[in-house]
Amino acid sequence: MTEPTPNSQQRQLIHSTDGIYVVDAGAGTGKTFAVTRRYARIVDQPGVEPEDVLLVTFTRSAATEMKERIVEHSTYSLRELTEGSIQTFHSHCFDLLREHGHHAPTHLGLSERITDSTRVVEDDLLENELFAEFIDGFCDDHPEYADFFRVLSSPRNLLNIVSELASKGIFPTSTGWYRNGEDALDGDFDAFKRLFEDSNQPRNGGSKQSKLRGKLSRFGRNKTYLPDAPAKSEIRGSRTKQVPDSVARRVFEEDREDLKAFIHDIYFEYLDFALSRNYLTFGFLQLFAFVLLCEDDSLRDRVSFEYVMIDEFQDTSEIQFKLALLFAETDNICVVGDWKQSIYSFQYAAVENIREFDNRIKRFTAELNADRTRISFDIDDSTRIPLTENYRSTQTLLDFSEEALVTPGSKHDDVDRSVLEEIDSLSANAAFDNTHIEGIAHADQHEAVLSTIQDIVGAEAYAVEGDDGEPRPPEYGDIAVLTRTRDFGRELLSVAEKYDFPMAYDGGIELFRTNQAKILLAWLRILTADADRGWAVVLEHAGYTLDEVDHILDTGAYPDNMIAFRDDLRERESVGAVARAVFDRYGYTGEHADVILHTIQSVHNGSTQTLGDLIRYIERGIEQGSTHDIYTSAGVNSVTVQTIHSAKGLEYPIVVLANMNAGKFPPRGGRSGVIQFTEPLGIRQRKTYASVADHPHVYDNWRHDISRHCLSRDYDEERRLLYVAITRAENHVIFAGGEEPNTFFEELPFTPRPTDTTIDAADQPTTTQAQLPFSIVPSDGPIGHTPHTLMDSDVFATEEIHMESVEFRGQEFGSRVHDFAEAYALGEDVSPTTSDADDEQHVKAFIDSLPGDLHVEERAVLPLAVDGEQVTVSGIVDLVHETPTRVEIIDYKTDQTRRAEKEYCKQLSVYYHVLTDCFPEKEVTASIFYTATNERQHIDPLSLGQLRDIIRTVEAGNDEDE
Amino acid sequence: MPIQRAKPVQQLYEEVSEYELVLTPDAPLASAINRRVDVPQFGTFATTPRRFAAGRREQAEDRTAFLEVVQQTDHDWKSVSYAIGNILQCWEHQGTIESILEYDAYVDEVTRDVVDIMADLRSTSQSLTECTIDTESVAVVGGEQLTTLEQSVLPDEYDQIELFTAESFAYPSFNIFDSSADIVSAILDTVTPDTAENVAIVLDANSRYSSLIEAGLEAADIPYYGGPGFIDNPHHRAFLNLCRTAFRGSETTVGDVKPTLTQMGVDVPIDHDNKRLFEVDLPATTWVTEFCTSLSDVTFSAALTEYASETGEPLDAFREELSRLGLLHSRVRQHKINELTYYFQTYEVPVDRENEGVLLADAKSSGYVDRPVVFHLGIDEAWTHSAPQRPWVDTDAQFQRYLNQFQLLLQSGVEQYYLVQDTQGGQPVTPCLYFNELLDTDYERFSDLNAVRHRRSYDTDSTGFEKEPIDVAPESVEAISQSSLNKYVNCPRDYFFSRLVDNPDQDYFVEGNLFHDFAEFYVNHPDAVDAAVLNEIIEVMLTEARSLTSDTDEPLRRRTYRIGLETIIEYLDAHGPAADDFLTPATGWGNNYFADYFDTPVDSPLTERWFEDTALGMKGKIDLINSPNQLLDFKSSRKKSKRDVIKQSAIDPPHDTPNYQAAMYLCHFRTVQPDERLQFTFFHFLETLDDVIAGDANLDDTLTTVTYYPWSFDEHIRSRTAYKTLLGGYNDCVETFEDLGFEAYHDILSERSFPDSTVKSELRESDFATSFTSAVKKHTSASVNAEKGCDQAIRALNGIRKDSFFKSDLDAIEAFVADRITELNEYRRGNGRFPVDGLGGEPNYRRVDNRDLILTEVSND
Repeated sequence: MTEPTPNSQQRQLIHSTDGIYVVDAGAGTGKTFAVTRRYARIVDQPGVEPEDVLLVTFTRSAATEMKERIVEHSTYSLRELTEGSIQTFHSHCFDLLREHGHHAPTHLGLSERITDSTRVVEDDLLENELFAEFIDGFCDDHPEYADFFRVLSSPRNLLNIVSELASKGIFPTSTGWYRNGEDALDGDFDAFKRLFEDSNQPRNGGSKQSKLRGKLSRFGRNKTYLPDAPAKSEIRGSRTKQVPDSVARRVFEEDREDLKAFIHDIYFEYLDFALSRNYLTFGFLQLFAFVLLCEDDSLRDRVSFEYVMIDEFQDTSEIQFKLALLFAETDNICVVGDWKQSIYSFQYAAVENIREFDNRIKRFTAELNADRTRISFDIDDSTRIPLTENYRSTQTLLDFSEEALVTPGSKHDDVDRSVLEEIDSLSANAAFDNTHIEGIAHADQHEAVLSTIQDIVGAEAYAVEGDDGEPRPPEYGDIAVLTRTRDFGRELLSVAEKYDFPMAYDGGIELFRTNQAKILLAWLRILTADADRGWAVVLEHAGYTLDEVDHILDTGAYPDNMIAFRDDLRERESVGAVARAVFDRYGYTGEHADVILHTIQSVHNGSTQTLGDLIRYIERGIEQGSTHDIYTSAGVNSVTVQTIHSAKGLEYPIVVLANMNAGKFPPRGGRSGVIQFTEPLGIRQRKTYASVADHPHVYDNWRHDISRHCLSRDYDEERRLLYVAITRAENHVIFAGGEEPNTFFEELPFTPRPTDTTIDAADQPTTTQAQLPFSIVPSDGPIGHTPHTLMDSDVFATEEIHMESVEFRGQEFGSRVHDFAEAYALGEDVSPTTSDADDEQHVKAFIDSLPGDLHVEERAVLPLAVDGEQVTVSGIVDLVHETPTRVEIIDYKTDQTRRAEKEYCKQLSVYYHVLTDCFPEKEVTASIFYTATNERQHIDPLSLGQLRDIIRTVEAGNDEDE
Repeated sequence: MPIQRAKPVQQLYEEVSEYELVLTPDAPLASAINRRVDVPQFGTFATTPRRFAAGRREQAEDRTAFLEVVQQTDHDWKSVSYAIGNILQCWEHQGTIESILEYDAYVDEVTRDVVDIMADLRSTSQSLTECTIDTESVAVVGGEQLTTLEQSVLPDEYDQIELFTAESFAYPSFNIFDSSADIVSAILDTVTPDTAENVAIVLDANSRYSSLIEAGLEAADIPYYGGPGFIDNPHHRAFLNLCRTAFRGSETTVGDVKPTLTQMGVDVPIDHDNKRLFEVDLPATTWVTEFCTSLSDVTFSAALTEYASETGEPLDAFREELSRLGLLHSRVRQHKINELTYYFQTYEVPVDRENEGVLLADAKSSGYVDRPVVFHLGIDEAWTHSAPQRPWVDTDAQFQRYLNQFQLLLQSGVEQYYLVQDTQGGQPVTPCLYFNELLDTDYERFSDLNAVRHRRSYDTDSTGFEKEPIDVAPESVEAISQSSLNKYVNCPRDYFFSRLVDNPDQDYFVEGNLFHDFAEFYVNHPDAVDAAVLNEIIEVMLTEARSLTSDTDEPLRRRTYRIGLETIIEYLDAHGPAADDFLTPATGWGNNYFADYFDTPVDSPLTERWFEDTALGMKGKIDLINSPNQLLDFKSSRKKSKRDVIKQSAIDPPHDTPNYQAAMYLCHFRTVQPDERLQFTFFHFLETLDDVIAGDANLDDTLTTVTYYPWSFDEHIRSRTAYKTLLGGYNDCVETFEDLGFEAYHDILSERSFPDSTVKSELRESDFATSFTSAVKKHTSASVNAEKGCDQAIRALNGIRKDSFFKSDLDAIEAFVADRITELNEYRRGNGRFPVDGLGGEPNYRRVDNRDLILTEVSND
């Protein structure tokens, strides 16, 4: 593989290693190439080692890719890099805490500790469950906060607040807030005032009222405010185009001490709860790493890096920016990103990190240095490097993609066209430009998408770039269908299945809403509780009618084949095996079944959940539609379906952007939480509980109904998603909508494309079962036996009958007596336990009676040739008593009968021959010591010939089995 | 450097056979050497340094040390285990127990105490430290793999035996599969219970392969090493969870403890799942409630005894472990439970188990496996070790150890099979990073190396169960209720399950029923309810709903109940039924909570009037027959508009949230009161709650009334009623039709038929609009804007249609219901499964009650 030579901008980035750089790396501009080359160049400097460089990536797989590419281009091998720091923020923080974080919680006044077995809970369902449990206890412990709980419909709102505050670097301590955290909670009036004024400008040269005043015409509609709320006329002012100035302060000023105390206590106690349960969340990993680095100056000195590089900077959160500063030892900081591709605000990404880099780095440095110097380097001088040469798409596509950033997302969306000025336009490098940008809209949108793809596949007009750089007709594998939301992809896939259309899904699905999960749930219910809700499902599936199922449920006369299967499941020890058996029975052999099995088994392993808890886990999964990543495979040449988010960083010759429908993209907004944290308002509540008149009530907060219009929710991020989707394409983009296309679809300047819904049944080559090249060979050395494999196990099988009788005292009893005997013979400080039986007394007396040397629990190995085959019989001898003339082999047996003596004889005979060989000058005897009766039974050893016969018989038996 | 060829075990044996003692880095390698001895041996031959020093009874020393330290000190458990982990690891890498004390960042009071205690403790590390080998001839195989502590036992003189030869290892092809499922199934196709002993599988123990392989082997009854551990015992788990429940607080629901109860063998009906445990009085939960309430006063020992006597599970092993931890006689406390859980998470409590069959080896903790056939799974990034992040670890030396270990592992067995995935989700899978050191070839992924691709196809014959013959006759449905029909239309399969299984009780159902009962009671006995009685009723409602609601919300519920009840009273006082003589008496149907409570029967024929009309195929219960022409339904939900009511009764296609209540009840009512204009009113008695608080409630805001006209829409629009509507409309409309006059209006419309469409644009463009407008124009003066007036009129008339039922609408509903009944009886007879998709396509899952039971038709594979 030959790598390209860097272009001049890339070269600038690769060569500029010292100082602060903000790299605006547009889509497809060879960012990874340049970053890895830069890394290689840094570490190739004398005196710089990989351990001096931190390279932070967005995902674990990106980190791996970076590592591989760096190894290819630097003199360093993986040996150096595996310990080097190329990883995500989370894993870097996790490593930091593993090594140094044991005491980190103490800096917040928490007495709990971070340990080596502390888990990171990544599963939302699990975290929600744990948080719900925490909140239940919190409610009881804090009756003083009842008023807050009365306004919350779901405590999950509180978990979101906690996560959001953590992502902003706002943490509680035992006595208040960490560092200046409280300022952010209080908000910033001046900043709010500016927003207020922005939205309160009269329009049309003063003839039209301000946007804010216009929106406030609905002030108070369907709302109930406390009696002290101002009247609408007071808020809007009369005979004016603007809301009175004074309103800004009235809106901002609010007594929030109780609210802050409430959030503080929730947050602090939840941290304590999580630690006491020995888990952390992604957010808390960063929180404790930050605290540790802030508090422990010498540690920070030790773990900071001479060079810091951060990839995908547009998707970092506020605390990650601050962590980057703390990780940096010098001003050699390089952030790489593309603000146009910032799409992770729901994971608290702050696009301002990159858009307002200079402001932010100054502000954050000042904050970190407020009490003492933590960031000692100069941060005033940063250099911008744009990467604008695009190696992916045609110029037509690149030009078109900019349009996405100024396309309205809804009818009333105000688009700020000035963002176009911030764009460093990309220039294409493509071999040819035959780009089609088209749109289809059809009521049967799934069929229309598939039909269109079939039209495009093989069509010269839609040629894509072949390996040789020449145009070639597209194949299925060249096409990706991207969607804003997840549901559409699943639907499309199921339609595709009907036609054997080659299509694979890639990304998150609602795992527990699949048939596999529901069938498993049904059988788990049959095995535990709610059996009716299990039986009904499996009976319906088997084709029983309503009245039949009803009858079966009433009488409990379940079908024999199902009863047999249930009984078989009951024998399974692990939930994984139950799942496997169920999936096998129903022919679920694919990826979905495997992901379910692994997810459930992992939850079981990582917790103390019982089967019943796992049922609840699946039920919650169905309710909440929690998502898990799966990768279905439909062969190499198939269309990929995924969400825009999961297509981040990928590229396809042809992109179909589907489900361009109203309410789907942008998605219809969910309801916002009752308690909210926003900048610059700080922490606020949308509703309050009060008892001021005849009845207690949950009142709306009038302030919120004004301030929300100042912080207008816009569709900037949705436009960026649109941009990301379009820039995945190398050659062509098709937009596809249904009956009610969205505003993007209506506003984007593409060509309509005629469409129908005929889909040809695809002619997929059928795959045949390949002969597996695996065979099970026997061992190459001697065949290994133990004395036990030579014994006839039937004698013990019949003994099982006696297992329950008093006579038989169980294997555990046997082990205990043997352990005692071993310890006592070795001279350890043990004495017989008197409680159960006299066995140990007998052993003690017996050992006391032996005058010679004792060999305790030594190995005895007897190699034998049997019909030309080498066999090794090895075992452990309980005790060998050696005197000047004799060697006595003693084996303890706790049996209360002599039924197995003949078999034991085989064992002792093996030892006998070993000892005879090893002590040729002494007389060797073998005996069993029956501990129960204090009797010693001498054994006549079998001859080597007899032992060989036994081995022959055993081997023959084994062969028969095979 | 290439992969170095490991010496075959036979060769190793030949090199060491003359020695008295052979030390190896891995126990399986020692066993492999021991198996090859050719003269009888008594005593140790090949072994690891640890085993040599500690003897056969080598134990997990970290746990042993932990048990000792927690008995001897009061330090918190996490700090103790942290210190032990550091001390042991430092000891391993630096050779002495005191080494840790040189690393300030890791030394605190706990560490010092633990060092003191461990110095006197018999542990493997201690044995290694004290042990000296006095055997004369010692061979050390792969000495560089030994840690500092292990090396410390070596005598001054010994012979070093190399693990590797100078040759390179020609690794076998990578077998590439599409998915982890394919890899696992390939193994299960190869291994049998009889050959299990010959097979080892090397994998990352934390990976999906691990879950899948263990499950697959167990399901196929192939024995393997491993299986449930101490804390996997369901009773151990149930006991811990039960103890946690006691500290969960008052919001704990029956559903929360149900898994534990189930494990204990206690069955609780599903109805109670959402109820608060400590607020319900159920025989099935009495024990657990008492257990939880008294738990903080008892010791673990007593709690275990309780549990054991309830379940018959002795839990001896658990008791023993608590005793070892010194907890048995401590009071049960929340932090103790946390510590205990932490202990189980951190340490493996040994259990007796049969180790036989397939050997499962973790790629990161094994160095060699002694089986003739070894499957290596994945061999991806997860196989790369990361050295312990501690300053006392020499990372270079450690890396070399890992690299050697990896090479040895890759060559274990007579046959090695590498089973890998080349891509996952279109992205290449990264091969284990060690290959980067070991292979000279340029590669990015497995397929760039020597590889064979396999595709699996499955026989998907097994699709569940054959139906067994059963002799149950189908019953026919003769009439359907509105709620059943709504459910059936949305999702027939949901209807199916709703006939069969129960769902948990919900707060809003309980509350709604109480409101209904009150309304009925009040219609019957308005005089019986005074202020005091109302207060009493509110208290009763609070009590009834308590178990399903949070205590915190009680003041708000009290408010809701009072406002709701007062609104009902206000309405009934003002607009309630005047007389009941137009109805035949009916026998009471169902119970009324307040009738029972106050012991006053409700027997008015006007309330809760049950009907079952098999001719129509409809049945239901009318909340209140308010007058000969008006039915009333009490609703605690949010208000819907008239238009919504009509829309929700659409049949072709049905609405997203179908609701046929008004339509069906009117169908029935028109058989009772034929040829009458009838009304159906929804009374949303909580609609004005906010307004009551604000002091400006208006009773009208609670009511939605739809009207049924016993004639066609065309007949209706030519009626005086419709004409009057137009006179109350927009200006141009009013002027035009005042000018036109009723007679002319009637005549014009009598000759015309209104189009079927309700779409504004279609109406505008219809022939009707053109001819209607020109006719009106013709008969009106030029002073009016007839064009605009007609346009407004058409919209107004269309509005009437969208707000009302006409004869043909209800006729259509009747036919629709009849069709549905025929259809569902077909399903009942077994002619096809009840489909998942309703008449409107994919069900609206927000309206589906049994989503967890509904398998979709998609295969998902």
